[in-house]
Amino acid sequence: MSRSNSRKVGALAWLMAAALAAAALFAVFRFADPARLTGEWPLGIRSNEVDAYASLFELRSDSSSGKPERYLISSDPDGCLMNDRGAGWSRHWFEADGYGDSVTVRRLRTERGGFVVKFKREEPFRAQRHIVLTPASVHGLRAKYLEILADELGLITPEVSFVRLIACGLDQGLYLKEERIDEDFLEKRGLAGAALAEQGHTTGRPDHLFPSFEEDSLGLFALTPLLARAYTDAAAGRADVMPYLIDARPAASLIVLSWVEHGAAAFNHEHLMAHDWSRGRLVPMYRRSRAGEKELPPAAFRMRDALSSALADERIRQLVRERWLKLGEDAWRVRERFAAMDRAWLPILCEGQSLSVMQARMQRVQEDLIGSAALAADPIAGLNAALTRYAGSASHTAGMQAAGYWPGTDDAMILDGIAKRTKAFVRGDTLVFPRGRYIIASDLTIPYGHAVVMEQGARIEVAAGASVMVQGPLHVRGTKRNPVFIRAADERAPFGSFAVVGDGTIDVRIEGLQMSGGSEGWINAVRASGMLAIHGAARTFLNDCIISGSQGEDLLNIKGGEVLLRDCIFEDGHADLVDLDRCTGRVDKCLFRNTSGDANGDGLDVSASRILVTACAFSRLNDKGISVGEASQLLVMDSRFEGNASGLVAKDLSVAYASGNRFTGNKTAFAAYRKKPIYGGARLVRYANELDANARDEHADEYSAIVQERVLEEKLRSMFGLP
Amino acid sequence: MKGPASTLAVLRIAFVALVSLSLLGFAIALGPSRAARIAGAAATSVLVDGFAEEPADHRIPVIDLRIAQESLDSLNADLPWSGGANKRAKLIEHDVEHKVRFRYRGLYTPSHFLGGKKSFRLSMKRSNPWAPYRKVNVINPKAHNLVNNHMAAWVAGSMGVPVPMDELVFTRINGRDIGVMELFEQVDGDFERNRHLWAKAVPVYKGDFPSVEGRALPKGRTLWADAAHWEYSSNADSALAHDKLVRLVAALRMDTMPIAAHRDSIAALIDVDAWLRYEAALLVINTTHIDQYHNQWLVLNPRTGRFYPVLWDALMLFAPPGEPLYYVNDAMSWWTMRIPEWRLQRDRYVHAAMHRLHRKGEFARQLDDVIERIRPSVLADRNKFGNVTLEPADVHRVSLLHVIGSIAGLRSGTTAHWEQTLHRLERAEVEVTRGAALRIRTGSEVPIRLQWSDGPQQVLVNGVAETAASTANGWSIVLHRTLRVKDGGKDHPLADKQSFVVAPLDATIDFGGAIPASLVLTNAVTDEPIE
Repeated sequence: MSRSNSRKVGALAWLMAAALAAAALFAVFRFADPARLTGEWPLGIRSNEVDAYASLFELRSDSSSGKPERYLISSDPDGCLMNDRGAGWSRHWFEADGYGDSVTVRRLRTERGGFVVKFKREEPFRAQRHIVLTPASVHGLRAKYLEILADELGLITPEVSFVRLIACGLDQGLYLKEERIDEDFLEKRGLAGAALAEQGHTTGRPDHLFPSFEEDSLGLFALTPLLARAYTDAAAGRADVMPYLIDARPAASLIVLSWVEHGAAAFNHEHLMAHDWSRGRLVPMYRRSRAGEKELPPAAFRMRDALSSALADERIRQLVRERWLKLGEDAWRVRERFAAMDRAWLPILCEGQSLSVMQARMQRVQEDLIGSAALAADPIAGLNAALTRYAGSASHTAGMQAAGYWPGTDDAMILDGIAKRTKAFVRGDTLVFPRGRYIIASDLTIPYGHAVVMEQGARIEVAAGASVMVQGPLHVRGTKRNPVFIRAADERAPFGSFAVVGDGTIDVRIEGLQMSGGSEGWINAVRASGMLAIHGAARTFLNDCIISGSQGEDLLNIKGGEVLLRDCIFEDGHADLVDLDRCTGRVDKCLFRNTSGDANGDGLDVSASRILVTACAFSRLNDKGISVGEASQLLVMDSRFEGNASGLVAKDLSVAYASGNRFTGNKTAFAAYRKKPIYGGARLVRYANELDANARDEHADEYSAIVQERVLEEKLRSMFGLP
Repeated sequence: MKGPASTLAVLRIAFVALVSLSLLGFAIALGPSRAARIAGAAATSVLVDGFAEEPADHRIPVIDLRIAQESLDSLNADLPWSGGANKRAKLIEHDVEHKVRFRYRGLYTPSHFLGGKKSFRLSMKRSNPWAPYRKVNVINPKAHNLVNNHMAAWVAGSMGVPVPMDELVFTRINGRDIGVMELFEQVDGDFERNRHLWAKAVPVYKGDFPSVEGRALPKGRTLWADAAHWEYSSNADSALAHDKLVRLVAALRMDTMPIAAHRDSIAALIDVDAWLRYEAALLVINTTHIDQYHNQWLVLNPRTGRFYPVLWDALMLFAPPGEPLYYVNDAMSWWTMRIPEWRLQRDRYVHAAMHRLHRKGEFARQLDDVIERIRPSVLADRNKFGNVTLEPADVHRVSLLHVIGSIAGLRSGTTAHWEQTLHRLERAEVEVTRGAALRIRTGSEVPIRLQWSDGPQQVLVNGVAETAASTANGWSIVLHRTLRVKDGGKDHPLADKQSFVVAPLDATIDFGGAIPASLVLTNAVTDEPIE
């Protein structure tokens, strides 16, 4: 046996070696550029290992300083939220700044470790019915960047923030918080009543053939057959159909954002949309993809659906190009916004990790999103794919009645056909109803962009259940003495709706119209809640009209644009008489009255609008003379309120001003309250008004106020366009 | 030193002897061929799959189930009879436990209940990871045709045939990897609701073997012989649907009524276009696994009031290659072949699909896509089971090589079948003789279309007056082919495994004068002109 000559390695040598290694690591993490540290490392070194060393050796950064808001969720001793893995709801106590109430909570089904918190309908949390909480790390800031990008692109999206969650008596760390997209969320964004739907794009999935509506029956009834027809037309080469079914601008924005977020795999993910029944359009929205979703290569085929087909439409492609270009031009400003978010949130999110390294890491994320390399790519080329309708589509659409319409080369022929059927005539691109009687036996859609003119003495009789949709300017040229009539063909059975659906540019001018005998209608995936419905007009003018006797939701419903209603009589509706949504304008010298006892609605119902009411009369209305809701502003002057359940009511973040009016014999003259909990209370300002024999002069709930002022200020007058 | 070396030698000899004895024993018990296949499969399973270390993350959904061991034990106690009871289980998705009901399924095929990868069914609540689907089957796809059924569903779906949702998944039970399985929707009254087509349940009939009672597999029933042989599988009201089914069964009965009367009766009760797509898909997929006795579904379309079929358990390339063009799966199929214009439309669907899938490469692209998605999961799957012999009981662990082989087989099998069928549908070798009348003879199998614009609408075909159809360019008639039952076969709608062959065509067309100069002959299936 030979004796080994090797020297024994002593403890000192080991210590020296360790110290040298530590010093080298210290030097690297102390002096190296953080951007280099966050790059790709060789030998399989992972980013979390780098982060661990960085937090150990890096001494130059500030320590975390910010403090996020704390959400406390406490539970029964044996019902700890964190231990409950079930899919169902459970009851807990929730506290945040200025809020404390019992709530129901369930695990988020689409992301590990997340929760959905549901607040009581009557006690929403900062106007939110549901919030979603998901465990957050520094990388959660990417969600914030995407929210900023969605905002830049004009997409509806929930706000992202970060909170500290205390649950089961323990600090559970930082969570990403966002409002859940639900019907309340939509209402706050001007999409009240819209139907929420998800759309997947996988050709092998039969459930991706059509949008998955939360309320299937509504979508099935009005939209699915129309989509089926549109897809057939698109497959046959009509690539220009989609803008009539999907809102082109948000569609283009969502395509751009999905490209930014997922690249070529943008359509591997489901997308969220709301169907706006008042316009008959799907409105794409942005919801961040859940963390941990696998990013797979794009599939060989893509379902031909509303969003994927939108990308095939040249107008939408042009919008995509424009948005992409704009994003490139504005990238510097967006980076500033990102930087502001970094300053606000990174110190909070770092939580013991190296701030400078994390900053460098997030810089990389920003580069990936809107860096010069990313912006050099072409989203249209990158998202190009073969569109198909597989999964049995051809058999499933059998029997679908698609009465949809979109503009085409045969519009002139359609118009001629309508003229022939109704005995009207076509002059240029206008359908003219001269003096005479016209029967409309079934749903009638006037081709897009064509004007309709009704001359004095024209009498239109619409069959039971049938509706008329005008998609261009409407001019009714009656007079008080020689009016135009729109009546039900059968007095015992109401027609649907006479609707004008515009694109925000058309004018509607109605004079000397006498209309009765309708209700409400569905046509072309548009729901018209008014017997006379005007959606999306730039300007609407009604003069010397008598609109009465509807059996639907509203006598007259105007959505959007400027309005002027003058010298009109609105009477005897089934529910509300006149409903103005998202309008600005004036109602002057009009009479709102109810002569039948069983009608139960408001005289003038104003939502999200700014309206001046002058010299009007509201009488015998079983609900409110004027109802001002959803953050509206209204000034009513020199008007009479007689025998109504309520005279003037302000609700839900609205402000109503009343001056020079006379209130007689109402149950309540003035009221202010919060009706929808997602809004706040209301404010009603009383100037000099005359009150006589009302059961109660005023009533306000705990959220609202009615105040007395002396002088109508100049500023207020000018706000409503008064001299 | 001698001691240890001799011990090692003894051990080696003993090991070899043991292996040989074991092989010999199995060879005696199972036969040398089966034993060799099983041994080969076992060896490749160990040797080849062992190289697949740390495969990438799954790219297909993972089904993570938790079931009490005693529940599993009770299900496993006396298979296949013991597997049908529903047990409580939890499906874990994103750390959330979804309550589900779990049971085994598949009594008839041992691969479903033997081995470690047993087929099962999950019944779930409305909000579940697979929503809108509430009942799904998760089956052992077997390594030798791992993606065949999945691809069959995709192919048929691409042809417009209603198909169940079908996904390949990776399954874990109680933390143990089970491997790659095929998840598909259980057809029931929610079929239309799951597709966002209808808000309520719709009537659905299942045509399959009777439910098992006791410990014997029941005999199959001829489904189209009696409406009572169909099982109602929906919560929707069945009164109207049952009446329609009874009428449909009656319409398929052979009697003295003319074929046109049968055609019209059938067309009033079944969505003919959907059915012809379905028939076309059977030939494109080349399956005979759907027959007079099982694997049939009928859904009543609430919009048309007519039934449509759902492709079920088609098993791509189940039929041997070179089957006749007109194989009769069942009575509906028999009538489809009997009605010339339906048969032609089916053939046109077949040709269009094969052209798209094969010549334009859609099938290959989709298959590549599927392979790319399942690759890490197949590598991670150490529990591959399949029939390694033709004996149904031989459900053994097999290897990656079998998967690769099966997919290669699918590629080559479809290519061969489609090339062959396309050739038959495109071959239109016609002998035309022009005299006072036109004589057309052909041994090819396709119908021939005649189109002209400068002659009469009325012609005599083999002496029988026929009125040509009006087209944009004049007149058109189709010389449909005569089918006859293959030698030894029975020409009856309820007969098993029949097929028709095409009789040679010899037709004389008399235009009542000169043969129109504009006359053009085309292959009625492909619309290609015949020179």
